[in-house]
Amino acid sequence: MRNAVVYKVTWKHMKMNKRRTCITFLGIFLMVLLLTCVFSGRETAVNYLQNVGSQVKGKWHVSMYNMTENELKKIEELGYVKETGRSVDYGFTRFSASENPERPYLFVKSYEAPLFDWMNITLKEGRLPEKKGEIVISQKAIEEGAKVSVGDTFEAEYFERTVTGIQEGVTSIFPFSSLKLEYGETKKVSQEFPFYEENNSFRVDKSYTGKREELTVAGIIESPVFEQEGAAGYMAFTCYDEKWDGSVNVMGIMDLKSVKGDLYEDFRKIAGDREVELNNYVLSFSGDSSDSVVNFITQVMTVFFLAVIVTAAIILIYNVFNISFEERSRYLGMLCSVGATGRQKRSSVYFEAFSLFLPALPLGILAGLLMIFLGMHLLLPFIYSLTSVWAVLPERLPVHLVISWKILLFITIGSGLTVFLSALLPAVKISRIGPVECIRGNLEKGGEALRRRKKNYLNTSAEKMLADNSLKYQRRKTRGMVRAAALFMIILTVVLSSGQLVTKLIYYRMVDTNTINIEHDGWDYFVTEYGGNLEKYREMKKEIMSDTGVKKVCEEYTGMFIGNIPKKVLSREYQKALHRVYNLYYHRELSEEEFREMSGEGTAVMNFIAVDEEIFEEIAEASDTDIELLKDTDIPPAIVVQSGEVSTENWRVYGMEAEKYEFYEIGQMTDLKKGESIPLTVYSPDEDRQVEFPLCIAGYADNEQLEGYFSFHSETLWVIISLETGSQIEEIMRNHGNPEDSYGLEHTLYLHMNGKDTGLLSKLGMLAEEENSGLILGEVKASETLPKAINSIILILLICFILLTSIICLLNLYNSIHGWIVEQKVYFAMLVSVGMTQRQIRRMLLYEAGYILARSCIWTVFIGTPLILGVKKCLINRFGYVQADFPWGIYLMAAVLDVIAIFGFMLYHYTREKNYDLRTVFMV
Amino acid sequence: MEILRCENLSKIYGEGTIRTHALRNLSFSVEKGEFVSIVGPSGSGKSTLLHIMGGVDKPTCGKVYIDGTDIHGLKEDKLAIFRRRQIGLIYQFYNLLPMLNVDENIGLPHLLDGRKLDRERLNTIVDEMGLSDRRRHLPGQLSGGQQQRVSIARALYNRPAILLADEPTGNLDRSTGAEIVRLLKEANRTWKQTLLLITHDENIALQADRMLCIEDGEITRDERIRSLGGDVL
Repeated sequence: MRNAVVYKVTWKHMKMNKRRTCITFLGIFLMVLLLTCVFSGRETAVNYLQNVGSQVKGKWHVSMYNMTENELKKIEELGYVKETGRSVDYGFTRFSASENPERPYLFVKSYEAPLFDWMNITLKEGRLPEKKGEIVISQKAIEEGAKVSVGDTFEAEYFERTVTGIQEGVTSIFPFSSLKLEYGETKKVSQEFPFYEENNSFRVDKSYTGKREELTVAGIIESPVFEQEGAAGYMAFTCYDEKWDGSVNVMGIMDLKSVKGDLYEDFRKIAGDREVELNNYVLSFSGDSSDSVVNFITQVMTVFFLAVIVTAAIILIYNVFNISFEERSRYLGMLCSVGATGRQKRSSVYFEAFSLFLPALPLGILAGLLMIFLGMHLLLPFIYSLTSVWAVLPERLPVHLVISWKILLFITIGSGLTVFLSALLPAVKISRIGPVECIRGNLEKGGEALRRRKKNYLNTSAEKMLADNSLKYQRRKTRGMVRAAALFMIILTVVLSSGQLVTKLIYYRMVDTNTINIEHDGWDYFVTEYGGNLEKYREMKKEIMSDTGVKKVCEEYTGMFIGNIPKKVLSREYQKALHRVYNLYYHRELSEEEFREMSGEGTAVMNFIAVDEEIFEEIAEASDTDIELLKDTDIPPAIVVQSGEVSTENWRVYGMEAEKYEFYEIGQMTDLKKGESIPLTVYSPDEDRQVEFPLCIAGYADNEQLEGYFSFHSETLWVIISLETGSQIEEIMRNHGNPEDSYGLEHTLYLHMNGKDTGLLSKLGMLAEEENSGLILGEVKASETLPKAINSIILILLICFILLTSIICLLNLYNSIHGWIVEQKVYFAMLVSVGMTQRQIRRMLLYEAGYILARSCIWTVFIGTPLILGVKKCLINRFGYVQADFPWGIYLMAAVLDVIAIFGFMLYHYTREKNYDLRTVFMV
Repeated sequence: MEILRCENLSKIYGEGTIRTHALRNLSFSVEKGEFVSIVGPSGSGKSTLLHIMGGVDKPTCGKVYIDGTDIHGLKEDKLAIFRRRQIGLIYQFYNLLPMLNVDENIGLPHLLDGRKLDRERLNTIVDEMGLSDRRRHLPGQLSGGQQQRVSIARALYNRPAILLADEPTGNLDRSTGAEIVRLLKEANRTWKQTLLLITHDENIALQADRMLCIEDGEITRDERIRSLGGDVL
């Protein structure tokens, strides 16, 4: 009650300054919205990905096969196992209602009640089994013509299926069942094994288990995602028989937060050599799992985003209160003169902050949820295009927003605390100012500085003199503007440069190491020959080249681990990175000697990729290559790939576990100079020794220069050579005495088709499908790789985030400059009355804008640079080293945007406010 | 020689029922070097007339000629330039820029003209106004009388064709006010500076060569008190 009048006056003050009140509200609203997006968005996305993941195999986390009751108890005793469920595979039974001759069986599984949910069994008709003898059958059977309906009964006699090799000297391979069958061998087959008629090579038999029962169809279910189209039986499920005394399969769901150590090892100890399966589709998307990519992304991004949002919001709200400080102090001073206490003055600031926070909170949360919903729908097509995992899903899953009480509480407390912190300092400051100072409006301390100043401006231009003195005189407001402009620049530079680093780290974390990615654009298909059958390859090449459906062909040889080089060829940078990896494996700092001893002296392997002359020349042009050296050298020329990567994943030390994951990007794989030779040796089976084949370094290339051709992610040295050089190396590697025993290179032909169907592709396809063909035929997909796609998603999120935080920062700047112009109106009027023209006022404002810009740039350098370096250091300490140049470009871009914003707002506000009534000045 | 002529000046504020006639078809002229006091009750239109003559407000209709120039026919920027060169405005609340010191405030119109400051003139005017020991002070460090002297110095520095003063003593005690009027009169006499001064103080008004009485936006009395030579009529 004591504060009622203060609140009333504050409320009127807020209503009088609608624009400023709206901006403060918008700032708080955007902060809540962003916090909602970060926390609820993260939960929604992870939940969605988990849901998608669970559609592939189910919701369970771990599955163990053929366990005893005793072992089940042990599993349940593990602290983090929340729930378990048992299942038994009863096996196949004849399904006389089937109309598909290739699917004449049912494969019946019994499930404990929770497993129906965990395995995503969805009823189409009837109900789930409730007692022994009741089953649900896959809808697939009905779709394929089976005459079965709810209530039907039939006799089931269960059997397992076995397959026996019956043709002498023939080995039957079933690639999709991972089964290899020699003559006379009998193996049990899985539920996915197709139906085969009797043939000369193998025979499929039934082996009855002895279990018989009468089954009643209780319901029809949607075909489970894991039901295989080619299997011999339709899926059917009955309920678990508590009297079952055989071994069971156990599925478990864990409390992932309680997992300590390696859960797989715990299960492995219980299961011995029996199968333990972790549902990685679900686990990898669980934000709480120990080391998943998603976990990594979400953790880093959450902390990063949170820090930026809170900083931006605090400074916006603080600035708003600071701008209105003088004005507020006038009415509070009046209240103070009639007895208002310091506490009551403080409460005015808090009242304003929290009266805006109250409506901003629910609205911000609602808008945040809407944004997540829309964002998820926009990103879904992208997410679905990421990987083939999603391809198995029958349809796109609906998005369910996740907003728990915990998240709501966190957003409320987090944003409330931010608002409180922002208002705290202005509130304390205002409570300290006495009534006389308030009423006199004698609050700016800038006058002191001006009184002390030595400089006389009589020899400078009037505009500069006025701008300089105004900025000094109204220091509080000047600082507010500088703070707003600097914050905008700092956030842009820090978020962009750190985002660049984070995306790079994520990319490297996700990309398969030890690989090269071929990025040849403009090619339709590739045929790779990897079997070492050179004659067959040459025949095929001739045929392809002469085919009328082929417009263009390019050839490439890849040789992995084919050559040896002395270790000293590898750079100091590489050795240092490797030393660090060894330290992680040995869990201590190894001395130089120890490292050398442990990593071994001697040789390292080297890989090469041989490209045709045209591409070789293109690469030479694009990279740092001495063309003269390339053409005029006694020994074959090579372009060395200087990009490399050493991590605890691509470099393993036998029998040891690394302390943690760490990654080092190598910018220079070798310290050898151009013109020097790489002492390569290649094993010759003919001579049974390493044959020297030195290569001359004609130049260097890195991944950036090779964009559009290759991207190398390897811990070994790669060189690019010509096809001719590649053929010479291959010649050494060939076993001329026994060509079949040769190991050679991978030969790839890239085909650009002209649209004419000559049957070449189907011919090549059939050839590739032949057993031991040693051929791969594939499409050169322009589609993005998984790491690139994830990076694109992160980039989209980052851009959205930058846009929203930039809005907060720009609002801050807009408001600060608006406050400045409004406060200056009285001076503008005075200046106009003594004959200052509009053009001169604009020029004066541009001087002021220039000063603010210069100061904000200095602050950005002094605050932004350490922040950027700090974030980089933290990320590198935690995840490893990546090459990152100082972000000059980002600085420049931020400065340009700052220039546009400051000068734009300055002139915009002046143009809007310039129609001041000069008479008001004289009435003062 | 005529320096100022107002022709049929009218000023209307507001619209409809709140339409207020601040000036009604007002015409008069002022000779060069004349000291004219304008008196009248509050709300009679004195200040409005001064603002229109100073070019800081526009008439609803009518014209103002200063030294033969129709000032309201000038474009905004031209009018600003004209104002800083030909008109000196002095206000009751001084209207000094708080961030500029005395010298800078005085030299401001000149600096705005892009011209180099005439040090000699500045020194003379500062001495004349008795501000020699306050040249580096900011307005906030000066008394009301000193601030008004700075304001007068600023108005006089450019040797304007006409000096318009809106109750320059209204915010000052009697003796300081008298000092300010003395300075203005001295400027009028010494430099033949045309002066139009609004005041409520009859004593001050009677020190002028001519007195204009305004009531309800109309000139009700135009009385010559003394000849341009200074003799009381």
